[in-house]
Amino acid sequence: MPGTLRNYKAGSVIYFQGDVGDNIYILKSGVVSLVYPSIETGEEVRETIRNGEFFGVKSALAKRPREETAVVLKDAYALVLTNEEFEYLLTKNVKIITNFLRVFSNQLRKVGKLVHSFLDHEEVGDNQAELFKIGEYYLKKHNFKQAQYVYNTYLKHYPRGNFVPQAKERLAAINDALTGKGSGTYAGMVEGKPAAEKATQQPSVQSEKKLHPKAEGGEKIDIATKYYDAVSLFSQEKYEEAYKLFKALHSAGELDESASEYIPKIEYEMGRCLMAMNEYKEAVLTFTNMIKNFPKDENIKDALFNIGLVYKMQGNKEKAASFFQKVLKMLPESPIDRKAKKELATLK
Amino acid sequence: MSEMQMDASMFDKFGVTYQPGDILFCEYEPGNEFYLLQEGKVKVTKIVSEMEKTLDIFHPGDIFGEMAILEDQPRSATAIAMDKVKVLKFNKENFNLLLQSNPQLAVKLLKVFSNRIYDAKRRLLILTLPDIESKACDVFLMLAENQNISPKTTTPTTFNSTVEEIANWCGEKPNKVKEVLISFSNSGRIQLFEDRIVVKNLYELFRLVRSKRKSQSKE
Repeated sequence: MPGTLRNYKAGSVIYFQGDVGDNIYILKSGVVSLVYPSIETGEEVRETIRNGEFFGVKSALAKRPREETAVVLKDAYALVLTNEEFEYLLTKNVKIITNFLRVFSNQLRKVGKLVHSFLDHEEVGDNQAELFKIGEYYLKKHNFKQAQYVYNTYLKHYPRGNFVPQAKERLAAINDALTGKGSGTYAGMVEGKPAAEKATQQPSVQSEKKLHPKAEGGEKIDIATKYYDAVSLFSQEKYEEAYKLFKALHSAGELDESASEYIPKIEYEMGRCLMAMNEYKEAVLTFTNMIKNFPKDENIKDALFNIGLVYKMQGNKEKAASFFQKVLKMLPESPIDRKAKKELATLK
Repeated sequence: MSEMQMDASMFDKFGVTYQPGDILFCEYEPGNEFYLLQEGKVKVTKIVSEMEKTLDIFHPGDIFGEMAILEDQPRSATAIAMDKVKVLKFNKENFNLLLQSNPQLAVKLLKVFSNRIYDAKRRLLILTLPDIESKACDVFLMLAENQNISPKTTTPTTFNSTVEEIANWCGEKPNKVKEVLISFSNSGRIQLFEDRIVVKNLYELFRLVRSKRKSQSKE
């Protein structure tokens, strides 16, 4: 057998957790213990290696840091193999491979289960609906071959699925499109209009809302998305663009009741944009309006603090101090209190 | 006999050929085969918020789809042939035959699994954190590790990730993660772009996660 036989004294360490090394060990005699924190509880776990057993395999194969510390409890002999020697050994002993595959797949299953236990709150996706949606995506992109594959796969695995009629319709239309018949049946069916009116060479999806339940209530999602875009612009220091988008959202939000929750946030962000643009008067006005309109909003203390900052920047110490004090008097306590204290201290 | 010659004789039994653009398997498709790529390139994609994103590109000699032999979950991504592609396709049943005739390939599979265990444990480490803020921070740290970027980096670091992807790693709803990222952006920790996120100071996130873990282990 290849490898080097090495002698380890009791109390020594063969490798530490976090070490990088590509040696693989087989214990020949003595006692070696692997010490590592449990991934579930973080508590220390000790595992005794039996004679003839391998250790250090996974880290060596993956070329990753050791996960455990190998401590010698009683004087030991171990056969030390390099990665290449180990691989050579494996190819000559297929049984070892099967054993390791079993051990590793058990470990992977175990970790996988733990991961899933943390994801339990996730909505359980409907696999067949999701598969169908993949087809819809490709169809929308006019990737007909790919859409065709997905719809066929859907029919194969879910012959009684909820979307069987739609999948069959789509396939027929794709077939027409690919063969150049272009009867337009697909568009006709979806729109509920006579086929002649919608005679197109290629299928197109026009009623996505019917197919994608998530797309319903799309306007609310739209406000959320645009709000996020505006915040993104702010973080990119594109203050004017951000302000414009917030302002547009503000007017749109006033008309749409479902968006009302965003209005105070938008007003607050508009104030911040104006501050960054050095439009001090406008900024104070915007923050003041926001405080008047939404006296119970979570950003009130931040708005008061920002007004204080604006006055400070304009050199109006007295007014600045009065706003920082307002922040400190107002409950509940928040991280902004510390900042307000700091600012007050600099004013004195 | 060389590895490639052996593969050639195996091609009759397990070989499949695909044309450019052909799908080998798609996201949410049930399946229990894994693939050894012999010729051509295969890209693995996933549709995230109505956008097809390429996760990986495989080259001859690579193994993919191996998770299917472990669990009864449908495929988590789509594999598409980028050019003319030849693969060997194996399942649990004919796996032993492969082992006997091509142990090098089996060793490769062992390596793939070893790496997967490390990846899964790293993911678990994120999920065990107590709140979305620290989870999101740890996701950036993990992504940095994958790119061999030191967690002690104090200069801006760019990640080509979207909110949805970060949320997926956190195991949290995208809307909640979005709120957290917005607050990070407001406090100047990160910059948000449509297709990427810039972390201003990775080391700051590292310290935050480390202190969260410490206080957790004390409890």
